[in-house]
Amino acid sequence: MARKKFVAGLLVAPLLLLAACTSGNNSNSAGGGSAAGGKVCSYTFAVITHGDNGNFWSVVYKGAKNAASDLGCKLSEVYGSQQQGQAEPDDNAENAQIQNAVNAHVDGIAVSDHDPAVMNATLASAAAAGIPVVLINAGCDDQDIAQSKAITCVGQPESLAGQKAGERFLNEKASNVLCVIHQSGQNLLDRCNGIAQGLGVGSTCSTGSAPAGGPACTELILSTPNAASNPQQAVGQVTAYLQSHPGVNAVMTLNNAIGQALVVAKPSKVKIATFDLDSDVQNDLSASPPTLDFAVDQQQYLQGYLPISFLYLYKKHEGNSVGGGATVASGPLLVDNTNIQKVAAAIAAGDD
Amino acid sequence: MTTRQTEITAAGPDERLARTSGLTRALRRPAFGALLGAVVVFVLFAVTDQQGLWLTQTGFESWAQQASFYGIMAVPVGLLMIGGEFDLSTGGMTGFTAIITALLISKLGWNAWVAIAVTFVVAGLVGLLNGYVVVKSKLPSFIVTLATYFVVRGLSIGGVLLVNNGQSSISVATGTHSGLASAKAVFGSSFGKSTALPNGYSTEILWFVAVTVVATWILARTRYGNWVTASGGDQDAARNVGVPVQRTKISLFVMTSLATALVGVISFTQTSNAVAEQGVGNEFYFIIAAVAGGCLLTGGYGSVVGAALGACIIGMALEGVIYAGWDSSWDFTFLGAILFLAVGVNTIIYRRAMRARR
Amino acid sequence: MTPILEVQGISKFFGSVNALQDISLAVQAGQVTCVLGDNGAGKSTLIKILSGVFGPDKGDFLVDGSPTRFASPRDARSAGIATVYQDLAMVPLMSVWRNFFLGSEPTKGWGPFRRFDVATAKRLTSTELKAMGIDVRDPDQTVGTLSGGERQSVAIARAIHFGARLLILDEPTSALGVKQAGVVLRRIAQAREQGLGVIFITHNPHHAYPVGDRFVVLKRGKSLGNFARSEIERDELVRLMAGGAELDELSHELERPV
Repeated sequence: MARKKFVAGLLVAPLLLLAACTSGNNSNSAGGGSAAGGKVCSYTFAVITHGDNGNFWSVVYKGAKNAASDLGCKLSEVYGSQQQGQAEPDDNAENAQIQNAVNAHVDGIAVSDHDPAVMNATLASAAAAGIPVVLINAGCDDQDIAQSKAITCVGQPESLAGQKAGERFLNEKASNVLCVIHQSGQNLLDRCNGIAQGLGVGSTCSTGSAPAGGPACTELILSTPNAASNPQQAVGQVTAYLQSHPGVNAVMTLNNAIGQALVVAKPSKVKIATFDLDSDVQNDLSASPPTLDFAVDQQQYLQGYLPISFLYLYKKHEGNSVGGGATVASGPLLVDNTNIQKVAAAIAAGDD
Repeated sequence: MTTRQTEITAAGPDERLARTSGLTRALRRPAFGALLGAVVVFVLFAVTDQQGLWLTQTGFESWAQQASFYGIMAVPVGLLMIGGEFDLSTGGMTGFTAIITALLISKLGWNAWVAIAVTFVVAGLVGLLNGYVVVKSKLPSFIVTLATYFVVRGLSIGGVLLVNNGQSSISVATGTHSGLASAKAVFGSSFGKSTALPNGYSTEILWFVAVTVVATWILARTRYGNWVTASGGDQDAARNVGVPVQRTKISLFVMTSLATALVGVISFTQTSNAVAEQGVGNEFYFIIAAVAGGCLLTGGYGSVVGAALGACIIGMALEGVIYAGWDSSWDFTFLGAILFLAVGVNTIIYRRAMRARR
Repeated sequence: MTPILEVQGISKFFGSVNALQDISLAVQAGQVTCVLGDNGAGKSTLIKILSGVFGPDKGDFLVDGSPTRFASPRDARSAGIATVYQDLAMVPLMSVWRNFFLGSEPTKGWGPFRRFDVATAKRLTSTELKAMGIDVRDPDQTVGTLSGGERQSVAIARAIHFGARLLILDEPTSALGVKQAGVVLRRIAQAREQGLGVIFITHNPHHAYPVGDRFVVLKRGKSLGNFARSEIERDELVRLMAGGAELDELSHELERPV
């Protein structure tokens, strides 16, 4: 009898020792990124978007990865549904990916609500399963936030960005604006419609023929194949449009690759503005005279970074939710010749 | 009428004796339908042009440049189709090659001409790989080149993001790199500037014409061209009479990939800029242009000039809808209708011509 | 006179299947040897051996009296033995003159400017075909628009033009109607008159008899006999091919009481 107790004790003792060791061992996060600042986070988040591998989204992804690394959290995936060589994002694929993340019981999802009709239900089910959701970039309006049961949305309300741009065009007296749409998506339409509102010409931008004089907002939908990936060909249509409508004095492109291609094409005297910054845009803005009027900076780095922080805070400090059911705006910041230098460092680091 | 042969003639030739007229013979050429289609489209846009720009140098340049981009590839893709094969890696390759050139110049600081030469070599190797795998594995070229496309695309995107600080486009300032100015002059500049056309005509148009002329000569006037047509029409029959079918097909793939390098280099030197996802999606337009130009999808028949005209039709359609001022949300519909019309005209003409000889 | 091509006692095995067993035949210049047999008799194996696709497993293969082994059909061609397959080795979508010179295109010029001498090709095609009695209505018409008999004629004309001494014709009349078959048989006779040897492979004794000088009948890989024309009547040939005794039995069975 005594021998059995002794043996039991021998077996138990090492286990107790092991338990004591591991409970005190919390300075290294389990398999996560390097824990800068000694922070540790045992959560795994999924980042699911409708993005591609272009200039814009690579910065978003960088923001998310940096946030995870800064906090010591893990990212189970950083997904963009437009990765497969398509001209448009694949909303069904994105929705399926969200469902997979829910099934895998990740600790939180940062997701772009690109197709609310399809995705809101799936996102609500995540909330029902106790998985917090933060929307990124798309779905940034109160209705979508409520229906998807997300905590908040970090983005640039598209129409707000458009409005600011429109107001600026109006101030510059370059108010006969052509808004160039390179891809389908409500977010792009919202930007153009915002411009119309900023110009004070109504709530939507019209399609069809631009008038001879402004203020006016006209949309041009590009029909060259894969316009965003093939900006040089796409821009051929823009220049033809400008030739046919000499009254247009300002062009807004919604993607910096298209914007850059337009700058290189040197169309007749129009002001060119674009969404999103990169080093080409920086050069254009810094040039003397600047070849680009201004750029709308969505600060998409924040769109990647903040959601991860918000999810972390929610999980760590149970229910600390940000935004109050409304959008947390990451932009717009209108960058032009006067303030480009300040933003330059961020661009150089690929953070903007 | 003509004197008939005498020897063993009791059976005699067929009763169907109608001499074919010169016109019918012309109609039978596959390019003729494409020419007619192109003329129809041209006239359509001349008539619907709102500002009178279509019939000016400006209008011409705008569609000619579009046509050249699609045409430089449509021509070898058409030739390959006549040879009985497809290449779906072309779109991705046009971007991949632009990126290679851009990276070699901007990240490694190489002389532009050296970078361009290396780009052509790499492209040629990819073509060799495509051709070799297709010919040896006997898998459909559709599948093999689709696999290549995915690999190339992954390399393009991943490679760019890896070396470029997370930015997905690469830019090079012209003045600072050796050889870039001269390379730009040859590939990516313009000519014929005037007050009517301040930006001039793109050099790409000259390259397009050159590629078309060379390919036409190859197809119609060389032994090799005969072999290409035979390999696509009936490769067993061709092999039976001693045509080196495998070598012919492999070389077709190499030529197609070299053409993608030309397009990539032109694209890059035009703007000193390359975008990671460049070119993706265009492979089908090259094929559409070839088909609109009379190249049979099943191979063995077609015309390189036709493919070039098919590219012109695409170029005209893309620009013409703008000059016509149609509501741009309907552009895709119009584009589809125009292509359908072009292929339809082509097919009707071909069938009628085939019937006429019976 | 030495036969152009002779095989003595050849056999061919595919795994355990004995496709050909102890077959002998010979062809002289200016002579037509018909090889007859129903489906499954081994005709296609025989033709592949004769045309150089592969060699026999047993037996002798003699060209102009000396033992030879062809490495490929191209070898056979260089020895002057041309095989015209049922599918004709013609590309239907290409014009007659392109087909005629496929693989042997005449050229003009040097180096990268070496071009296909189209004018010569068209002219020669026209001449050769006219000489054979084929009227080509339009020089550019595709082979696909020719009638079956015309296509066979062009194929034969091509083989002769490129220096064939011996023609091996694989079922040239099998897919043709009566009139067209007649055209082809005339060509075969013509070739014989020009001094070529011909091996005419068919399953139709009615086609073979009019032009044949010798007849070899195959059945299930074996030879039922090698006859000169003087040694056999047409009806006997038909009976032999159809399996003589079996057919008598069958016709008894099938007989209906009147």
